[in-house]
Amino acid sequence: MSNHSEPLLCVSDLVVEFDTPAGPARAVDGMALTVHPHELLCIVGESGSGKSVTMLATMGLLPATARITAGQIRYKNRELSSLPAGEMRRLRGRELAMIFQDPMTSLNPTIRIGKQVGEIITLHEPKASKADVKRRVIDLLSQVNIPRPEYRYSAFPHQFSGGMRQRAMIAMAMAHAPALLIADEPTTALDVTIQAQILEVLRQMRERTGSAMVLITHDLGVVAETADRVVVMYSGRAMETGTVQEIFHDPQHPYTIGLLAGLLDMSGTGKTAYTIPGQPPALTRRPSGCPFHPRCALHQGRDICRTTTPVLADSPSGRAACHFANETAAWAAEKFPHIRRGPSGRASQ
Amino acid sequence: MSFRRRTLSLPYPLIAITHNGVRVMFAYVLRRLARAVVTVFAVVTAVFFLERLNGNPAAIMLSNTATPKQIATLSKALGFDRPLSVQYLSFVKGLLHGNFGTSLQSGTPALQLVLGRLPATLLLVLTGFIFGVALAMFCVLAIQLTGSHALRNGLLVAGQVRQAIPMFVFGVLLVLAFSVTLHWFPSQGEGSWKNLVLPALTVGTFEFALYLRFMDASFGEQSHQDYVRTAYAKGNAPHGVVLRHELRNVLLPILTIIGFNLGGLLGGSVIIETVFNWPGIGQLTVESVNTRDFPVVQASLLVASLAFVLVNIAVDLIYSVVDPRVRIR
Amino acid sequence: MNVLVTRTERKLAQWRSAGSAPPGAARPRRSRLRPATSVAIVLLFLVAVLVIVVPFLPSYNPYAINLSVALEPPFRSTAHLLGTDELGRDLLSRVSLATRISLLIVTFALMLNVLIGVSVGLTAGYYRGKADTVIMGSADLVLSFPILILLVTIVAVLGPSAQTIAVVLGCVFWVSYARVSRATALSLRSREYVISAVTQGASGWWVIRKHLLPQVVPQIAIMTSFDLGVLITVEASLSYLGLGIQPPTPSLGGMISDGQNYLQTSPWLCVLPSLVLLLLIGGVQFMSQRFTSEGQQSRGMTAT
Repeated sequence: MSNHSEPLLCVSDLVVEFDTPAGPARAVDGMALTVHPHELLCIVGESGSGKSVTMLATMGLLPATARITAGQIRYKNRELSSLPAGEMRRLRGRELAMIFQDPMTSLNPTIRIGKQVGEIITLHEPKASKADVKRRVIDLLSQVNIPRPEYRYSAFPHQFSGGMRQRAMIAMAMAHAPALLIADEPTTALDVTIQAQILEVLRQMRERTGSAMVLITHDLGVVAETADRVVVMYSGRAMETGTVQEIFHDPQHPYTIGLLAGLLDMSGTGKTAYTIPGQPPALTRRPSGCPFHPRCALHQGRDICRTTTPVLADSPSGRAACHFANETAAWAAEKFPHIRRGPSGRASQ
Repeated sequence: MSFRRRTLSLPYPLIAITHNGVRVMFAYVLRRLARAVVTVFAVVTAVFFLERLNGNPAAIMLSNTATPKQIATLSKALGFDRPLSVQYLSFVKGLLHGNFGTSLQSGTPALQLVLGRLPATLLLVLTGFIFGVALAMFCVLAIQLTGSHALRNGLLVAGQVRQAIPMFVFGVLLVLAFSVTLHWFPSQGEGSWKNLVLPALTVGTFEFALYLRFMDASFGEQSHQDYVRTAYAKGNAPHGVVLRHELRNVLLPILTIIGFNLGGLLGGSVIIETVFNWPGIGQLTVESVNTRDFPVVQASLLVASLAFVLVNIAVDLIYSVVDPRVRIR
Repeated sequence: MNVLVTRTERKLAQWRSAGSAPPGAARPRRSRLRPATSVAIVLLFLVAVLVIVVPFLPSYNPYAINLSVALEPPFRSTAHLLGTDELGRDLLSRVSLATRISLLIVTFALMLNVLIGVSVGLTAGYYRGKADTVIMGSADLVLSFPILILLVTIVAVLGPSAQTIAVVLGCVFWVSYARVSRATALSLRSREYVISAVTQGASGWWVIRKHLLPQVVPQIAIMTSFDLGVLITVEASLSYLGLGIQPPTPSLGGMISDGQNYLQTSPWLCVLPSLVLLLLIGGVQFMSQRFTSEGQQSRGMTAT
């Protein structure tokens, strides 16, 4: 469902720094991504890879200790990072919406659900009548499958279950049919059984409104199920990007392959899951050049990995930020035979 | 997650007192009151025995030059010569009838004397409290809405300085500045509204400093909460976030402080009323302490402690009604 | 009055430390020595000079009555640098002695409070059961009263004197130390090293002394630094009411109370003891702030 029309959102060379006692920490260090209208882009990465920070920077929701120090964030050809506050506010909630990981703490515990969801309507349509807003809120709540919405309207967040809270958040975010919905690990704080529900609700709402979506997750299963396109992030940079088929059937970056290899091998018994050796680097002391090279099997001591930071264009397909992307296929086939590659079916073991 | 069908559509405060709510709350209040009465009674008893074990109270009341005969006469007249247990029994009997004995100085019933002074103390304490809290809220909102670090630091430092100054010192300095030097306000007693200004300012500035620091800290804490981020994500402007979202969550915990604070003010009225010669319970207590008027001292202690406890219970009840997450069990 | 600040100040310190460490980022440390600390050092130095140096001056005599030089303003003569009071007594000497006595009383009371609070709290937390209920019940009892009225009553009944208030003050402020010690004892009693000590035959007393006590010390130290200011204030307030240090011994509160009669003609009788009291309290409080995370507090989300 991706289309190659004008991109909705285009992030390039983004750098976001935090103040720490140990000096400035770069949570995002040269990130690039694009989102097209109506498509679902998944950002995958480990904790601390900068996935949330990238999207928070896009929305202008960074905490006071952080700032964008370089790069562009273009939404419909407007530069968001330098937009005046008032205009950014008009975009937030109306064209750019975001839902967060923990729905319990993301909702104000002292305000009723109905009023909180209604707030997003009254903020952007101040002339709307109270009755009208209430009607629309109840309608939204029923769209996300919250039973008896006219009663739940007056409930407080702590009276909802986790899944219901997240659905209320989704209803809130979709109230104005935003062009882009950003979902920051929406299912991580919920039971696995609820995850499917939430993803389904998201799918339904997207169908209804036609919104594009950026889904941040560390769960490759969710990616495989939902994504149109994928960006793999590591230590603040994009390592690989592509359609979901390309990422799973033709991974080109050693890190991506490492992630896929970590999925359980169903063929043999008694085999432990693969883990990429080493740890992600501290945000204040990144390795020079490619951030992944200390842990990379393809590095093999070659200097260029240390001296030159690879960009997506460095690989022949233009999808992977690796100097030796052409070697990855052979290496993966040898080391991880359980990842079957090919155009048909999913990446499986 | 068991909210009742019918009650869900009611305004929340009413939910708390419908159905089982009323019964539960009533039982809770009774329990707290019972505990309070027991506590207060225990202390009054302790004071009772302390007074008598420290030598014959009659001897303490009279000056050092009193003859043993004079002491004996007074002692007999006031019933101090009876065995302790008998004295205590009659004391308790008297308590149950609301009789605290008669003031040894003025001859009027002690409890009546004390309660007669209560309005003056309440006037002083409540005026200062309301002034201080209102000013603090105004200033904190100003800090939050303007985002000015200079304003915040300035006010916080001023608050800290004020809190470091003991009540009586601040009162005396106010008198020196505004009464003695500038002749704007009288320095003693109760009378017109002008008499209220300096004492209320003494209390009020202290309250201001206290609540300023609390609310500032509370707002700081709230600004890190996730719901604030959601509020901004919806498109709220900073003033909307502060007033519509953060303020509610800031005011809730302040309620618990108010309990301690108001109760403590009732006790601290002892100091302020002495500085300004304000005819309240505090001044009465100090006077009766100096003249060894034990019945009045006991009555003062009882009234002040009960007031403290009642305020705390009231605050707890209000809190349980106002905070949607709290239900009295 | 600043008594009620104790309980509420603890809460304030908790909140501040909760709010000053946002997830994912931390504050850069500002200058090494905050202005508050240097101010505190200056104030305390002045107090130290007053208490330690002044008694060695030739004109030092807090008790000598000399009506011919009564109510002399300060800075007029070298014999009486800060002037004299209504009985002609040298104010500088009296203020110095008053401060010294206050410090002695308050230090004693504080140590008594800590002793009572820590031993009671550790016992309650370690042994639990009946001892615990009794102890915490009496703690609640003490806390359920406005402290000042309780103090006034007790002191009145026992007869005011410096010794009385030293002891009484020492018996009323132990509750927070007890609570902290009890909490520590509760959490540590089930740790392996405690259990292994017990199986090796250590008595309860040994465990408390060797294992629990050291854990409690840092927090207690912070609390004492703060309570010092509170106790100084309470002692001064009681002396102001006439229930503390008795004349002719000078006390800062007492001098302010006496001086109130002369506000129009000789304001320095009030102002000088007030200033010294403020120096003392200010110095102590600013020092104690080093231990609570005050000052710069980072903002989470603000205007964007």
